[in-house]
Amino acid sequence: MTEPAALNVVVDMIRDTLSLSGREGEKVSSDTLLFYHLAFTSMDLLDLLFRVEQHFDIAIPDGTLYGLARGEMPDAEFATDSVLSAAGKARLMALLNDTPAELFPERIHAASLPRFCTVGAIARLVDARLAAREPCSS
Amino acid sequence: MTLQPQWGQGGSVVVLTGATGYLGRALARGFADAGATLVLTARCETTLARFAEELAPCGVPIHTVVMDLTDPAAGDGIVGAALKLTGRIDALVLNAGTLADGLVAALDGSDMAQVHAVNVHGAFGLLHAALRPMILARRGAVIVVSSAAARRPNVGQAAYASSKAALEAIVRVTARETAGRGVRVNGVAPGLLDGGMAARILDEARDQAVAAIPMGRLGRAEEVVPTVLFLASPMSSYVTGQIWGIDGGWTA
Repeated sequence: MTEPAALNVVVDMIRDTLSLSGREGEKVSSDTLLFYHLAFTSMDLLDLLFRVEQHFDIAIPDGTLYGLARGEMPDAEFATDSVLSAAGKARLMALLNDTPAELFPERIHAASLPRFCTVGAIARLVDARLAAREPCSS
Repeated sequence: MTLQPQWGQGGSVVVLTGATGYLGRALARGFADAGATLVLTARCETTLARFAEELAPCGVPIHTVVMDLTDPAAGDGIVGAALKLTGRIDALVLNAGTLADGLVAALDGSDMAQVHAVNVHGAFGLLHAALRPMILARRGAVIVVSSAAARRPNVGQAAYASSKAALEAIVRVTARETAGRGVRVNGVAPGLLDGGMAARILDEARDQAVAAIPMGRLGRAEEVVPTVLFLASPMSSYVTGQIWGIDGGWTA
């Protein structure tokens, strides 16, 4: 799999976020899980997203990951009362295909989706937002 | 230890809401005297412009942003304007407030909503918007002007006191959330001040209220200013999530 273009910058930013709580020595690579391996908090994630948005001059609003996972699937099929359906969970797992399958619980709340992201997934998200921003060349 | 340079706000950018009210004016003067660059906000353009002219002799940069905090776009509008004008926000002083007194059994629900719209939702909107640049900068101080009424509400203060109590909860939560990002969030809770809104609160009960204050007198806006300056300054670098009572001992 080709590395996301934004990967190196995202890794540096994650290291910066980790340094705030004295976690400079953590190994950070594309398949590192933010919440499982690095013990990210929701504030760490927000901090990272603020930095990513500022550096790349993009917006990653709440629900971006949800929207990417849902794709064209009707919302009612994707989730009920903010809990992903079986089909919704399958779509999320397809999107986050570098996250080990056993880490996805039976019941996934829509607000918890970032918890299943690898560093690479964040970098791919940045790539996607950059691509959406850039005008077509032809 | 030399205190003066650290107490000073030289070069700091301070955003202050409710700048033309009784306490707001004193706070603006205090920060201006300490050398801060000011971004003053208020609803009335004429009053705000006139007050900015009054401060001009202080010799510090003074910017004004006319905004009604009940406008959902106010938070982003003020922060956007401040960043455009000054490039950063070092301190945010959430001072704007309103009140509507009435016995709970008689209080109009719309009055309750209006007080919370300004005091809670308006302050929250601006706090929410200001935290991003502060977190990115890894520094910032937020000072929320609460009231002694949050701890010791009087009859008729359900709307005002509940709004200030909500603000104090927001202070504590935000302080916990941002402590690791170099952003400190504190509050001051003035007691009865001899001017501004307190004049409306007191009404004929003024003498009774004064009698209940251990210091035996009302406070002055100028007596709130040093604590706010302290909380905005590096002198309070290890202080966050606290509400500082400035009330002559009323809530002791």
